[in-house]
Amino acid sequence: MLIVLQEAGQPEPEQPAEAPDDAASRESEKLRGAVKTKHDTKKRRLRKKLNAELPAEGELQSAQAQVKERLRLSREDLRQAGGEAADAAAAPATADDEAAGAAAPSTSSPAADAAAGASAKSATAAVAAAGGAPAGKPLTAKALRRKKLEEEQRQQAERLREQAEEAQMYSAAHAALNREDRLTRFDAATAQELIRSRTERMAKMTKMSWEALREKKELTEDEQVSFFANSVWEPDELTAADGTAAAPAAAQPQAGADDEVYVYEGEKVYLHRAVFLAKADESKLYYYPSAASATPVSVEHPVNLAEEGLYVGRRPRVTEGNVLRLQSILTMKADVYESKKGWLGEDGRLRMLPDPLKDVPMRPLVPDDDDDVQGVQAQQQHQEQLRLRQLARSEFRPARRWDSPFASLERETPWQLEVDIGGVQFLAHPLFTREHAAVSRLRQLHRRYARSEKSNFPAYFRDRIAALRREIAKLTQEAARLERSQNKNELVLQDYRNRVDAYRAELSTTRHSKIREEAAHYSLLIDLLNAWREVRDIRQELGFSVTDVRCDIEEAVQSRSEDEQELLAEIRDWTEEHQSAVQAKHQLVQAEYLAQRQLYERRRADFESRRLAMEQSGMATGEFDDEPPPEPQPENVDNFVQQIERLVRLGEDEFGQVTCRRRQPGEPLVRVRLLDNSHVTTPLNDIPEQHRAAEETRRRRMESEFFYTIQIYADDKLVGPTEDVTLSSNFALHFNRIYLVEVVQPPSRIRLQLTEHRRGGFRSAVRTIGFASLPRPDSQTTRAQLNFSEVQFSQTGADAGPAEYEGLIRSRCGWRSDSEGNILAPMLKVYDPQTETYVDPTPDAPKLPRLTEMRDPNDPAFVRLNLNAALGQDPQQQQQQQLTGGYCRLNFFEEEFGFCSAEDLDTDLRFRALIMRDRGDIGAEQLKGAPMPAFASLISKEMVEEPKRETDVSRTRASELQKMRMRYEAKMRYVREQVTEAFNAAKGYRTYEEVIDEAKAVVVDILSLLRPLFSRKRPLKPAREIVSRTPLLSLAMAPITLSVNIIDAIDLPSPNDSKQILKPFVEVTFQGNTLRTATMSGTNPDWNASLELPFRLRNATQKPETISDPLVLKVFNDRTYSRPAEGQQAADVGSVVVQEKHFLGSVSIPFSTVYINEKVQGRLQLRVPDLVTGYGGSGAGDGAARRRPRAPALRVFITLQPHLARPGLLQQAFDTWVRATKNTLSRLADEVAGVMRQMQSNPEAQVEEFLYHPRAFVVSMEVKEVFVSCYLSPTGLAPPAELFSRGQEVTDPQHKKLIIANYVSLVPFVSDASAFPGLIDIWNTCEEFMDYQAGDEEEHAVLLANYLLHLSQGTGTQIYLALGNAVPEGSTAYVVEVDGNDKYVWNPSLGLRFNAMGDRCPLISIDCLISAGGVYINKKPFEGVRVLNYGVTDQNYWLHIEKPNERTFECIQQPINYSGGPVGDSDIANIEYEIEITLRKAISEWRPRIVGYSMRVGYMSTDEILQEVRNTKLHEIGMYVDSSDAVPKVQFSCVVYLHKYPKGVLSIRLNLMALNRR
Amino acid sequence: SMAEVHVIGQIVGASEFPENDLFCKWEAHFGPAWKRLEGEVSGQTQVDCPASGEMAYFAHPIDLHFATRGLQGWPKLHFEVFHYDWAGRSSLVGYGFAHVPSQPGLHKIDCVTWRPTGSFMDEVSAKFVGGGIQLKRPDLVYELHDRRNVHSTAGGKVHLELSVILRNFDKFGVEC
Repeated sequence: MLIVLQEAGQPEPEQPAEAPDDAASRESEKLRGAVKTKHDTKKRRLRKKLNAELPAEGELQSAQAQVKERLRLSREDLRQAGGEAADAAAAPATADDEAAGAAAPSTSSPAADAAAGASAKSATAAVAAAGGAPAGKPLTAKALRRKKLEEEQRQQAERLREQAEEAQMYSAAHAALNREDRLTRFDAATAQELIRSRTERMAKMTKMSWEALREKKELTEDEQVSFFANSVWEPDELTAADGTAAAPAAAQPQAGADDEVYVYEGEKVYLHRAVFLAKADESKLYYYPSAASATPVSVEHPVNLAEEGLYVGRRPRVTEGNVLRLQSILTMKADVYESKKGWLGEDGRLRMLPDPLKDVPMRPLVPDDDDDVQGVQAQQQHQEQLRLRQLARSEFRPARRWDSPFASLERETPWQLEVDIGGVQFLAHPLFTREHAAVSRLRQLHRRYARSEKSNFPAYFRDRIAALRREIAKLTQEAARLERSQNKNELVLQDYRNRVDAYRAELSTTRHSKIREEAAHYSLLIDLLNAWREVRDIRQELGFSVTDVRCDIEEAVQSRSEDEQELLAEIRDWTEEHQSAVQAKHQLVQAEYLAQRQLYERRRADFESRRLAMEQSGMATGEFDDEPPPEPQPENVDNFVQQIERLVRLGEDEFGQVTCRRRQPGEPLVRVRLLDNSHVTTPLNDIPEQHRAAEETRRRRMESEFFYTIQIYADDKLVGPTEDVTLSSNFALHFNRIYLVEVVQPPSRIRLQLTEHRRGGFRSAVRTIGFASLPRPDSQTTRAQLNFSEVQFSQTGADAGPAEYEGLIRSRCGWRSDSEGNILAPMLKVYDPQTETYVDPTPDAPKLPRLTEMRDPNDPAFVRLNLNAALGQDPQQQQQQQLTGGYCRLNFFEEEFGFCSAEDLDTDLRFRALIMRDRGDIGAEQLKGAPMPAFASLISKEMVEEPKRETDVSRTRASELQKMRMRYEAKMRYVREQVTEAFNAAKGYRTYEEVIDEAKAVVVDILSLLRPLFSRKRPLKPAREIVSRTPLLSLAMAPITLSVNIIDAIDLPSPNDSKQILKPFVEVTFQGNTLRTATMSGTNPDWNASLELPFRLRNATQKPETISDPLVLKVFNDRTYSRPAEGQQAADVGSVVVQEKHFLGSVSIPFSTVYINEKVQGRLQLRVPDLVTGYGGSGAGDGAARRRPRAPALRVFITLQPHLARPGLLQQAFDTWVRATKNTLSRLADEVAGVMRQMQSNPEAQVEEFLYHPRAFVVSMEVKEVFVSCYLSPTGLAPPAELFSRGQEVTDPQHKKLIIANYVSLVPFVSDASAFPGLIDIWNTCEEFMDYQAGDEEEHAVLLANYLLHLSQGTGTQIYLALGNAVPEGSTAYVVEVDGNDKYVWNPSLGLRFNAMGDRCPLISIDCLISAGGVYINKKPFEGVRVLNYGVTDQNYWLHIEKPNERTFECIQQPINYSGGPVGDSDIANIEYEIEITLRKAISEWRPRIVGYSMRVGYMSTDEILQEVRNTKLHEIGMYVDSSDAVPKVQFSCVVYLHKYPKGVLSIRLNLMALNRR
Repeated sequence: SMAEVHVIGQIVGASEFPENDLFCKWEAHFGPAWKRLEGEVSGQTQVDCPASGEMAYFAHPIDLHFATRGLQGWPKLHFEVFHYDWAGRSSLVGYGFAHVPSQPGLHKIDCVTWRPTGSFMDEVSAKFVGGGIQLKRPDLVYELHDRRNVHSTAGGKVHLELSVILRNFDKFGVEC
């Protein structure tokens, strides 16, 4: 139940308007009637008041307006209240009455108008009021309106008539004037009309007269010109034309009414071209005056618009010459400017805008004294504009402090601060009466009260308590459940308990807070009521009121029993909570006690046993005197419950003192509202006592005599006073203005100074009564974002008594934001003395502490701070200092000012792509010819990925051997990186010869001119065409084929079965594609087959030299025979034809060889299995005559179609670089280079296209250049003795050599070329080679040469390392053995020896021979191996570069330690087993049949062995039987034997056999 | 996207040196916050022996592309100008450095140079024999430590034309 109590401080007969308004809105039928009657009384009262005030003539108008306003308001109220048709009908009637009554005394029509305007809502009433005045009696609204309308129409017509007459007179006068002046004028409107109608008529007329003239054929060209452009027409003609034209009216007698616009000047008429050129086709007819001739357009003033009364402004001054020139241009190039016809104005001058500069304001100033609330906003804007304009116009800019930290922030247009001053509310003022003071107190209390009320704390605490209780219940339940469960997690349980404890503590504090808050609110309420009572008392005491504050107090009656229940519930809850908390605590304590008790018992038992022992041994003993721990007692909660009871119920604390007050049960809920402007102020007249009235009058006069101004200071600089404001009735000052402060430096604060001065007093009497400081807003805050803040000020009087002035200034200050939302504020920074920098304090608060941590120990300003830290007064600080190093200003800056982190830069795709492009890793093919994208998002990740290295070693069970290989790869990778780096550096380096092309002086060779005359007409020997090489770029586009020409084969093994004829064919396999030749017959077949294998790159980025796929040529015997069929079909078929492929031999060529050497040409020795069962006459013949069969060989020509550009240049560039950096070797290097140049410039050599690379220097593993002889030891290296002591001691030196060659060839071969794309060859020493168990030709050759050197010590045999060209390897290293007249060539990677002069010798040419003593460079490389015949001493054939006898040229080979290899015996067994198992599995998979091979391979990996076996196609035997389901009965046998040589060199023997049961 | 700077231009030449047969070594130096993306950061011009006129023209191109994560260590170019005499010896005639302008656009920069002066005997011998003293550490040209110990005389000027193109600086609040 709610009762609205209305308490009015002053006895007043009527209700204020607001109250019924509120009531009426409830739509209560009963109330509506009451309201209506009240309205009637109110109206009556108003009317009475009006009548009373009539005599005052001056105030009549305003009073009337006031009355109207009131009327309107009341009517609106009525509308709202009633809303019924009946009421609406009643309302006009009463309104009419009133309006008539109100308007009756007034006679002036403006008053009536004002009344009409005020009561715009009910038009009828207004009209009635207006019409009622003259009529003297009320009329109906309709009639009134009609009458008024008629009147208005009549007046309008009258006015129009008058205007027309006036215009006529005016035009007549003009006409007379014009005739007199003989000056034709026209106004703009007519001209426009003329121009519009002119075009067609003009065209017709001109054409007509022109044709007429032309018929006469008397016109010269000049005359034509005169006719059209320059002609002088007689005025008669013109008048004649005038007559024909339809002049619109006599009032407008203008010559311009004709087709043309003519401009008269004196006696001449000029044709106006700008008007003339309306049609393009006609423009051709006209002649354009030349620049030389005078411009036809006058610069005089034939038509002066200004004289016509039109505003033209002042034209900017342009020199006459310029005008003439421009006119001339315009007329000459009329066709160009045709579209811009408006160049010339009606007065014949160029159109020009008047001077745009104005020295007077365009708009009138609006006076400031209008206090209209509505207009404030607009006016403020206007004022701002004015101020801005003034600022812009001021000639001088204020000087700026360039040394200021904001110098860089300063700018041309100043920053703009907005200071919004709302108002001032005085809390104390000398003119305060007692009532004022009381009201002021009341206000302050109410403000606090309202805040407290708004926060609605009871609900907040209630909810919070409920939530906490709920959570605790849930957690306890959960904990209990967990405890019961089987697998309880102690940690989780503990966590639950901890949380419950925390919540309990929280709950307890919340309860206390609730009590406290309730008490605070309650006391505030009581204070407020007391204050109000005081105000009321004062008012009653004095009998009148000077303030208009009123209090509304609502009391909501509460049921006592409900309150009691609530209270009890709260006490119960609280008690319960407390009890459970105490219990929980007690449990903990109890558990602890139990533990302690146990400990105590144990200690006691210990003691007892010890004492017993001691007693037995007769020693003195003491008593166990420790006290048992006290058993904790459960806390008594009763006491606390009583306390709670008292606290909650009475607000008493434990000592029985009332510490907080609260609403008692049954006490009504009170809510207080403070109402301002409630018109409770007593008018002066009504003040009962005379002297008080006089006093009050004086006081009020004083009130109005004082003016108040707020001075705004920005950094102690006055930026603007506000206007003067007087006190309002409740001692408030309403400014409500926004003041714009323009600053070039942001002020540190804004100060407001409130001053008071008296009207008419001296200016010096201005008194400052208060200050307020506004904080400077941070740079992101605009005014609109801020709320008003109230700053209290107080000013004591002369004697230090109570504050004379006290009050609150309501204001805010923020940056201005322009129309686009930009905040016109600088980025503010504050000076931080510790870092001596300006930092932005606002956005990131956490950064500040870091700044303060930064201390420069060298800065004297911080010596003390650092000393403190060093003395250890603040350990945390000290630690911090140790961590950060105390100071590091540079890093600090970098981090603070960095745009992004370094990782961002590193990971940015675009940057990576750019860097890769710069390095050359990304070429045009990746970008597909497009430029680098501008945004990282457009770059695909694949592009910037590093090319993946193929890692085939991914076995889980890596043996030592494999680990070693991985180490080698890692090492090679490292070396390669180094080399690549060096190479990149070398790329930029150019020699003089490379940069400068010194063209030879042209010598006219007469002979060469004559040569064509004598040359044969039909050359029989065609000149060789150089094959053009395709650059790598187009690799992806063009299809490339590997062209393999298989010419013939020799010495193929013949079948043992003499009846059989060998039918060999060759299969070529490359990249999974296989082609075969036709089948020939005989052991020396001649195929002459050309096979084209497609060649593809795995992706576009792959470089061809990294392709590891080998080209494999395999020779098979195609054996076809028929045999009787088996099984069920035997009866039907009789016999079947069996086709078998028998492997005879193979040769494998790495693709890189083909690519780098461009071609492989020659006789390749086939790699034949050691034993091919059934072929080659194995075991045939006796031992002595057993001639070792000549190895079969295949003659081929392999090349790429089309040719690819070789990467050969890289090597040379690198060589050049290395040489240039090493001066010590320069002499030798120059020598070599000289010979090389000489050789390469040899025309004969060029014709042969020799790959000629004699080298004296090679790059070692340390990326250093080493003289190549240093790789050979003069005494050689001792081969492992173990090799020769197997079985029986080997003494034959030739046999030893073979064994050694065999040993060397078993070291796995890893091509450098594929390891180093770009062909930078790295030479390892023998030790490195053996350690890594990997290397290519030169490593093998060096090792072999060293071994051979060792073996041939003392004999006359000479051993050389030979660099040259071989088949199929191309450019490679061999070992040459010269033993008297016998010259042998060793292939180190195969371990084969050839006779150098034999036809099988794979070495085609020798570039140089290397011995331990120096290098012999072959001067005639094209002579092939034959040069060996001439001996190295022959100066004609060999250039000897001796090894210098210097330290740097010492042999770099170290003796090899053979003991201990990476492969142990267990490994051997493992490998053996692995191979065997794999082979068995593979064979069974591959489908088995007959024949068998015994093979010997070096061990690299099982995969390779598998490949070898597969190449034999053993598994295909018996597969191709034409009878579909003949079951092949083939059995295979497979034996693997592994032999270990020193240093882990392994030899593997494979014996494979397929048994085909016949 | 990060801030990027392109520096494109040329070393036009050198003038006002006592001798006119000059060449110039240059190097771009920049702070750790900078990252070179493309272009050579150092180089040497050819020897220009002007047949007439005072100025040696190099027209040596500079084309650099940086990415940066801060303004610290804004790149600067430093120069060592050498005189190449008739005997094929090169002697130092000037050290100097110039900051790459931070405003985008084409800039013509005259980089003034200095060279260290030795004792009287050094100068005399340099006068007649050629050569002269040089800095042991060329970073002294652009670093500020220990410079107070150096006696120097003025050299001539190295003329530069640099176009600076900035990208994405406005994203990081740097107005340019």
